[in-house]
Amino acid sequence: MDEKLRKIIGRVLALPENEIRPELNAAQVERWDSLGHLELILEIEREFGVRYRAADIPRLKSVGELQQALRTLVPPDGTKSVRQPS
Amino acid sequence: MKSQESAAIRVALLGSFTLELLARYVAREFRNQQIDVDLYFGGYSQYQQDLLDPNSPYYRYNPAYTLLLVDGLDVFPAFYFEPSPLAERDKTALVQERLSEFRQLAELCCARLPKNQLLIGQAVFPGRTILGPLDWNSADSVQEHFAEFNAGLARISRDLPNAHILDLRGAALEMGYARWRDSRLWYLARCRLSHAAMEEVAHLLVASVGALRGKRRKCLVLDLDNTLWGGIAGNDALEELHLGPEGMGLAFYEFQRLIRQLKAQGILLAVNSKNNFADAMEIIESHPCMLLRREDFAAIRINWSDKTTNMREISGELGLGMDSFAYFDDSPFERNLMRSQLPEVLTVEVPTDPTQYVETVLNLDAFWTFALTDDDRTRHRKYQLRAQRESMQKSARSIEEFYSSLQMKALIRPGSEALASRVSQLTQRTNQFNLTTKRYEPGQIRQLLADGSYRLWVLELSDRFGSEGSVGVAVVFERDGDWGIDTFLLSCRVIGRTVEQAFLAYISAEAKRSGARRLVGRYLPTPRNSCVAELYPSLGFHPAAQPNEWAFDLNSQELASPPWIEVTSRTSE
Repeated sequence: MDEKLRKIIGRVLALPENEIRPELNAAQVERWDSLGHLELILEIEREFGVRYRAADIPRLKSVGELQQALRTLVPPDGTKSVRQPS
Repeated sequence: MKSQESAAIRVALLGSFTLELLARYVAREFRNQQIDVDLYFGGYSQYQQDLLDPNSPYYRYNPAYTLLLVDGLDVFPAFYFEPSPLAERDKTALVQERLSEFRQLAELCCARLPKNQLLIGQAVFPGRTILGPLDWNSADSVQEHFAEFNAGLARISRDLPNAHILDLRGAALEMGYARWRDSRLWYLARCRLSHAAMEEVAHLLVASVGALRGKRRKCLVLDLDNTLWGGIAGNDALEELHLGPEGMGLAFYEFQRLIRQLKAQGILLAVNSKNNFADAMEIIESHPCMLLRREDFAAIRINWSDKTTNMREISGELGLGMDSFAYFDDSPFERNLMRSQLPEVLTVEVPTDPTQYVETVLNLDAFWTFALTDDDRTRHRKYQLRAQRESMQKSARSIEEFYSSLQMKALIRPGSEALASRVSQLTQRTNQFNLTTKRYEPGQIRQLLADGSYRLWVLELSDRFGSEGSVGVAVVFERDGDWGIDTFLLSCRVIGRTVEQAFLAYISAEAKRSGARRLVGRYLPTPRNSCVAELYPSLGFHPAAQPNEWAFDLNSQELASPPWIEVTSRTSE
């Protein structure tokens, strides 16, 4: 998985990076409560220069879902970030 | 309630929206600034209850600093969503009502927590409302009521010594309202601030707490080339430098205006620059568009020394610790050196583009204070006097070199008919260096010359720049074995060159040679001659019988002539 994403998740949720696998979800992590989730989202947005849709935010409660949603916002070639209209 | 033993600063956040997320940003910012903090944050829109109820968890927390944050949309939702049903007077009344409420809350807070500093964040309102051009242009307009609310908050804070305004309205304007808010965070978490705005509020709060704790930097140390002006001193001609109203010169000129304003706000200025001293000083003293002049700087180091060495010297000269300094230099090399050698100095990150210097200095919070003290207002003058005294002491060693360099020659001649009118003129015109201020007509001079009990000398001075002509007159008379000084004067052109000492040394030697016991002088004060009030005692004369009369004992004392004046005399014309 994306190294940059792994680092952000590790930093915000205070987790060792080897524990960060796609299956990891909010219920398994103490700091991944609703506020921790917002912090994580805002940090990913800042680092990648993207913006999640408000309605998607509460649904992305696992590492895999976060990564998948990020892929739709950042094209695989990584040359250009696509911003949702704000 | 946390342990009271903790040395952490207790900070409370109260507000009209969810503060939990903001609290995390605030905690992080305090940590980044290495300040140990203990945080309290009130519940969603619980600020009124927290402040009104004397037994609220807020009062029990007993903070040292409180930030009260209210969003404009929370205080006046109707203004934003449905302003039209409100008449002009309803809006005015609503604003006054809310202001009375805030005044009461602030007064209660300050009275119940006398050691707490209350920071009232100004309410942030949207730049645009649904009214469009009807805003400002019609009776439905709400913008002026938003402005009146914030003006009212400022009046409240000025009436309470421990209340202060934190200008979030200005911060939002700088950032742009579109970036300040994040509607997703409002709808998902009832938070009125975006990620960027929370970072900014956290930064402003931590900087304000620092300012209120007196952690203000006291001195801004500046580089010269490409900092105060564009170009290189000694390399570019004065008129080639970028400084003034033309083109890029304006960026440096306006930067200097802000620096000068910082001085008015009590910040000392200093120069730390690698240049030839003379090249740089020529610009500072004579460039027509230079706003900061020599006297604006409390300390100046312009040389080829290591800048950290200069910084240590400036610190010693001003008697300020390294944590009192901020340093502004366009050179990344010098900044890195300063950061690594003197990390306590705040080395400002200077952009490579001088057009950004103005915003860089505006964004500095290191000089913040919430009130100017008398100390702030007099600091520059105090340090300037201190520096002047020190430089006089330093140059005392070289004043003799200065006198020697003048190559002064004094010619002392007895008075004569030919000199009578020049002598008369000097007695008539000399007001400052004149011990008795006796005025003589040429005829009276001739009578003195004919009187055997009087002697008269004229001193002529020349130096390596040319002759000053006849500049000194002495008239003495014999009485009871003493020589009394009737007149002793010097033209103001030669004051301050020790000529008087050479002249009196000559007269005392003449007096001794003729067998006199004492040389007696008088000082008759006038409004103009106070500069010679101490002349006689300064040369070793003692107080004599009469007030203002001074005597020099020729048997036990000797008056030396300064070695840097070559004295020759003629016994007669």
